[in-house]
Amino acid sequence: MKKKKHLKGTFAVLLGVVLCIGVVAGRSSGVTTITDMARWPVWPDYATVSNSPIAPLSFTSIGRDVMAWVQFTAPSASGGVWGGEISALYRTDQGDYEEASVIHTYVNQNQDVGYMVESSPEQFKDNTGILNQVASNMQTCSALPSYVAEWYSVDGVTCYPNQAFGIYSNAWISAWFNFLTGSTLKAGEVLADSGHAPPLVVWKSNPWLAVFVDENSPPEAWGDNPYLFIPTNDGMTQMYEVRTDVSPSQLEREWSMTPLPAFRAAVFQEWWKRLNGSYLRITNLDGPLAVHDIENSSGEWKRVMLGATGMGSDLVSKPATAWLAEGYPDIETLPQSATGGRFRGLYAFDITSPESPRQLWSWSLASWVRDSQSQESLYMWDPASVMSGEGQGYDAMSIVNARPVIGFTTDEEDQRVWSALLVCIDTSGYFRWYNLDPATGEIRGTGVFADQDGAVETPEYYDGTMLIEDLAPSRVLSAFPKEGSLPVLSDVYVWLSNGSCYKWNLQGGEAPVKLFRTIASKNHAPNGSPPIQDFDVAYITDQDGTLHTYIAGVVALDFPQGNPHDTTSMFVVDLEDALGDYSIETYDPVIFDLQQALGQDGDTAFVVKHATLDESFFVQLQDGSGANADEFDRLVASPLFINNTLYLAVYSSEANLSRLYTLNMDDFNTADVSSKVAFVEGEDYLDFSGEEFLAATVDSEGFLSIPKADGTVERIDLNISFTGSGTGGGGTESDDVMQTVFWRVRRSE
Amino acid sequence: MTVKKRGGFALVSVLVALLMVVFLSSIVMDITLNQHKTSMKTIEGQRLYNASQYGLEWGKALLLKYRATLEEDVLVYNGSISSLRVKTTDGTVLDQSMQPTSPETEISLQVTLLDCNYDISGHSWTQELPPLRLSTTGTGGGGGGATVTVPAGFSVVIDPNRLFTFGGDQGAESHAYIIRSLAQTTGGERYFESETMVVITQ
Repeated sequence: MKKKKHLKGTFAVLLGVVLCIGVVAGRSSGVTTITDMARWPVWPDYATVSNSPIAPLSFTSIGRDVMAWVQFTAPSASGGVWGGEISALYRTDQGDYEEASVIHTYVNQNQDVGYMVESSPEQFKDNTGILNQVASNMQTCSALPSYVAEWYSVDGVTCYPNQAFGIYSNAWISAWFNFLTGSTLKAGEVLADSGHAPPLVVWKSNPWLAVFVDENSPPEAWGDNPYLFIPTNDGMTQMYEVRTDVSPSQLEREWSMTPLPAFRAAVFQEWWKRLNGSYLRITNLDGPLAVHDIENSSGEWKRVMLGATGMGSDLVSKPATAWLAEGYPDIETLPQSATGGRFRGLYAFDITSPESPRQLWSWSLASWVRDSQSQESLYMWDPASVMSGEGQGYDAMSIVNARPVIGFTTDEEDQRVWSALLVCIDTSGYFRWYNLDPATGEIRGTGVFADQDGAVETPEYYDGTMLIEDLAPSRVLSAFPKEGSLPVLSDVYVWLSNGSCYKWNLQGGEAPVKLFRTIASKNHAPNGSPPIQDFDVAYITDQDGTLHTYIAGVVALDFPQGNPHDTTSMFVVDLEDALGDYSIETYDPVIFDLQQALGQDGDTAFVVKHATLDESFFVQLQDGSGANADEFDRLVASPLFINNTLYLAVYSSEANLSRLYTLNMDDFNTADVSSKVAFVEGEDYLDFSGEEFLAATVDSEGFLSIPKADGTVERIDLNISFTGSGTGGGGTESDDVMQTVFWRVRRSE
Repeated sequence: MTVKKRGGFALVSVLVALLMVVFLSSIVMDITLNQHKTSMKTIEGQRLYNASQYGLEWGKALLLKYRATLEEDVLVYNGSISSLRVKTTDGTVLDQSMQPTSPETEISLQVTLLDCNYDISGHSWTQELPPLRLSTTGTGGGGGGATVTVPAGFSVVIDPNRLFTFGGDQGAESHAYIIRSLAQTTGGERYFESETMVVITQ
């Protein structure tokens, strides 16, 4: 028996040796020599994403007649590329809503699909095929750390590049082009997913500028039709014209451009496919867009679109097998290991002429650490304007999932100074703010969010692994000053995904000041309750005629590790009454422990006055009492104050029930409100059993319009009229002698 | 024996069937009556709504008709809502001298016109009071000059996609009014009251 075992062992060893020799022989026919190991390329890694992303819903608009949203299609295999499908509804002149048909084909594909290296777009191909300039630009822009034409040789006779970009064949660029344009579908869709970016519909006139600043601010090249912008994770930013001048209305894709940060990374989707056989998801353009008019240094009005890579990508070493897939001799050398690498970036387009986009500036940064090196390898690309002078500081920026805010302040000479405000998670793992010049990308200021005691804000994780910022990103908005006058950046509110809410008076030259934090405690362990979707701000008049600042948002209590019977909730706070004077140095930010405040009473469809702090309440979004009540698990739109009433539309997939909350703030700002206010159906909410809300908006005629899955639209007349309504420009003074401000039912029986 | 049993069975079956017909008929009658009542209540509700809307439109027309002579000074609230009723410069209370005729039979209609340009004068705020909006002279765009603001109760988020209402504050001098229209059945059992705020620009 012993002898037999010994023979078996010897045979196994011999077999292993033979196999190893065979593998080595198959990998290379000669001796490979690498000139510079530090030039071993790194690639953006493919990402895994949540199966139930929360972020992209947001499409709140007021007084507009187009609403658009995006739905994602999951890949069949983990790590695969996701698909995205946009939908849009248009309210016709007859008052009906119709679904716009989506036309993805381009008028001229060669011209309408391009990439941005400098300010003007460049084409991928012309009528003869892929242009040689594409590969050349990739060598300059996309090779990390840098392109080396003669990087390795076999038997010392021929040298090969560290990263091939079409030198061997342009066929793969052509395949990638088909992937970008949608000729090759992504999970069955033409578009890739848009990550944290909802589609953004933009009209010619920005009433806040046309009325308060300059009626000539709307760009002349924009017509009556609005445009829809959406960045997608294949690396393209798309523009569709919303053709409301044809019937039925259409979304027509006008162009798709790859901004420089995406151009640097997106190409590797094709290379990963070469290795893995299918397209994988890289988070190329994952951040929400902001579009706003600004004045450049010459005083000219320019329409700027600002976007970001959002989550960005991890960076890993190029697999050793990749050279073979590129058509070059295999490499025996084991790949250098790169860890902790990140790729991220920002970009700004000038879309003053919507048909002719130009890249104003961009910023990209790649950083990683080689296992063999103690120092971080860090490579950054920037236009000179960003890097000059005070333009340092981008190296700290990492994840930008919050939609930027663009606006202006006024200086001592009443000159407008334009700013883009960004909120990100920095490389140290802190929440950080940036104040940029939107025209040049130059950083005017940056800092971490810290409370009055100097404690810095840090992001939180779901299940210890997934960033809450990924599930429900931080939100930033600018509110019109309570005192009126001009829509300056004096009342900027930032609600971080760890539940902390800040107010930022940029006009006053102040850093963000912490107001409060929403948390849900479980076993006395506080977890931040993040805002889900946008929140809203309004000034509500109290009994004495004093204006109070109300903030309404939807916060998550369940997934940040709260108690499982808790639900997503709507939270409303009166800042002045609940917080007191938060401008003083000794102010201690209030913590709203929503779990502790409610206890088991939270399992009811009641409004609950906060137990210890006056003037705040929240509503658990469920259709009844107790742990078995069905949860309204889908927000249809973010909360919205109209005429003293707070509206929120939600849907429960469990109960197949839609609900519209219609909370009159007069019921909550009187002194005699008890700790609970029971809702009355028909007054505080309307239920729609068996009906599925899809979206909600306020149209140009002042109707709250809620499209439903059955194709009908619920319309509720709010009896309001708007300044600068419609799609035309300007809108400064009304010719009407009489205007209706609001209409409402006082009482009925 | 067999034949007799079959005959008795048929009789019982007929009786049971008759009982079921009677039972079902009563259910149908009940449902029909209920539906009729519900329909009548719905129709009555619609008539109340229509009458109330008519009252609002009548109030708007009245304000427009007399807009050149409406009182522009700030009214002083004396604790009674009557002190805020819309007056002309000669002191005539508009809704006291005129009231609309209800467009619906057996439904009465009462319209109240209130001035939002008032001084609460130390009194406590009540639900009956109209929103306070002092008469203003705005700039009509272009920036600078007098203060222009978004009215209370509305979203103030600055977003290019969010239009807003001034309530007519911009431009020339403007004045806000509340029109309340109460429609009720003859016995007062059912009622519907709506209100609207309008701003008149001189």
